Amino acid sequence: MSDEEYEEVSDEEKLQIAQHFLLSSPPGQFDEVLADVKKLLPPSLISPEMLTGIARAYNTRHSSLITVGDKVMPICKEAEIDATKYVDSVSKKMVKVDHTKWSGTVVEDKPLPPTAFDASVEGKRTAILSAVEDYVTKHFGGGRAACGVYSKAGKITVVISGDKVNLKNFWSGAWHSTWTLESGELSGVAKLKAHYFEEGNVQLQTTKEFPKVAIGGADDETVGKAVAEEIFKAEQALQMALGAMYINMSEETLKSMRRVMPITRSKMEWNLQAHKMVKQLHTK
Amino acid sequence: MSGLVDSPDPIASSLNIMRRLPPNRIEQNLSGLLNLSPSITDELLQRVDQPLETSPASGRPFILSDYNRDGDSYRSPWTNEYSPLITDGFKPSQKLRDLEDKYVKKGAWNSIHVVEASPPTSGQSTYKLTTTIMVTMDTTGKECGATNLAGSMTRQTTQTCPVNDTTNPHLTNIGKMIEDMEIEMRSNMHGLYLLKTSQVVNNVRSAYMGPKQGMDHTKILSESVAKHGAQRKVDSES
Repeated sequence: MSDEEYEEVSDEEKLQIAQHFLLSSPPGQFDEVLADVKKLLPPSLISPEMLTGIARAYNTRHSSLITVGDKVMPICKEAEIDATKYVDSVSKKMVKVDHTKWSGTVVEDKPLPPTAFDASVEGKRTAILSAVEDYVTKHFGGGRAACGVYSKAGKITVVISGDKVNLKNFWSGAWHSTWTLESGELSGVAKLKAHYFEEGNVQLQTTKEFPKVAIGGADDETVGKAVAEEIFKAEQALQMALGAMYINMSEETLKSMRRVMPITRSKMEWNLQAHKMVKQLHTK
Repeated sequence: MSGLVDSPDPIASSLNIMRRLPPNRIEQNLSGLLNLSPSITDELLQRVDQPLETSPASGRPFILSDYNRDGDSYRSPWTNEYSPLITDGFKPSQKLRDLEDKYVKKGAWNSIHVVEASPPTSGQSTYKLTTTIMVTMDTTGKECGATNLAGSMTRQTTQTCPVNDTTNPHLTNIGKMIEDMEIEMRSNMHGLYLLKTSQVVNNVRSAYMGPKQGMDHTKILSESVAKHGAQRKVDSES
């Protein structure tokens, strides 16, 4: 068939497809998808500004980690001052972010705006930050990981992000969660992605919402520890449940779709089968 | 075969993208790629297998695939007719048609087997089998939230066997080959592929305490960042 038989879509539609592909990139593979997508698009159809916009949307959606000096910090809506400036909730400094390079630099000569944090819950915020950092260190030691804790109008938001990217061995994964403490109640959502693509393509995608749980405590430190403890309990339970799912999957789900061996526990007798079918055909 | 290809070839780029995008969205991803590069439509449809659909038309259901497609019509293996009806569609040779008649297709487990058989020479035929299997599972249990685990894998094998009309007809040779391939791929898909994603999750978050207490947090982070950077460099050059 010749090219003319296929209808050409508009550049606008091509950009939408490209954006959809980029936003679906597995952890740590945005650049790799971009390299291939560019080869399928008319030259310079994606402008640098557009690309920055897509990368920013990707980073916000996945709480991507960006490198600042020798540390990493998560990108999220709560940390955003404007499209390129973000709050580092640990150092309480402003960071200028390059979304397409996954890196940022501390803006030394400009302080954070006074509204960056809610002063009325600052004690609680720093107590939560310290307790959650401890949790992240203990459980996200395998790859890169960081957390950020933000406050606005009495509401405290905790963002946890961890990833491990090993493209040389054809895999990558990420775990990020967002928790909010409001009126003494904590709720959250965790999202996981795992990709393995050596001579194939297998992906796990999980979104788990955690219902509200009451957090009590006489002082900020107790509240901080209670928040970290609840997050630990919920995320630990999720990981355990996934482990159980994998076991269950092998025993039930897959077997119901396709057995390794037939019910008779022996392979097909292809020759016999063939003879039987030939006979049936002949008697028709 | 295992490495992703770095070349300006639109087919190679499309296949690379298919290896990275979610395998539970094969049709959507493929349709996006076809819109980006309409000129490679035919070749890409042949290279990327999609989950099988069955014919919604009346009569005995059959599988719709690129292998019984001609334009927008699909040929039923039961009647040998195209639906919607076309009269100039490709029809297999009588010998191939007889073989097709005897063969029972499987639809539940998404497996696509394509066999190329050479005409027998000195009583032997060479068969080239390409098999793709696709699995997708959704779990919406209370504990795991909304989870999708999906995968696709393709394998190829070539075998030369004696062929004759009595003890080793094509059907026997091909049937055995397909059965062995499916058994192997079924256990690979589970034992290797699906479980690998579990290991990846456990690499990101450890259910057990670690790293060693007292180790400097910043040091661990910077080491893993450096390691990460080094790995990425190797990967992008390979």
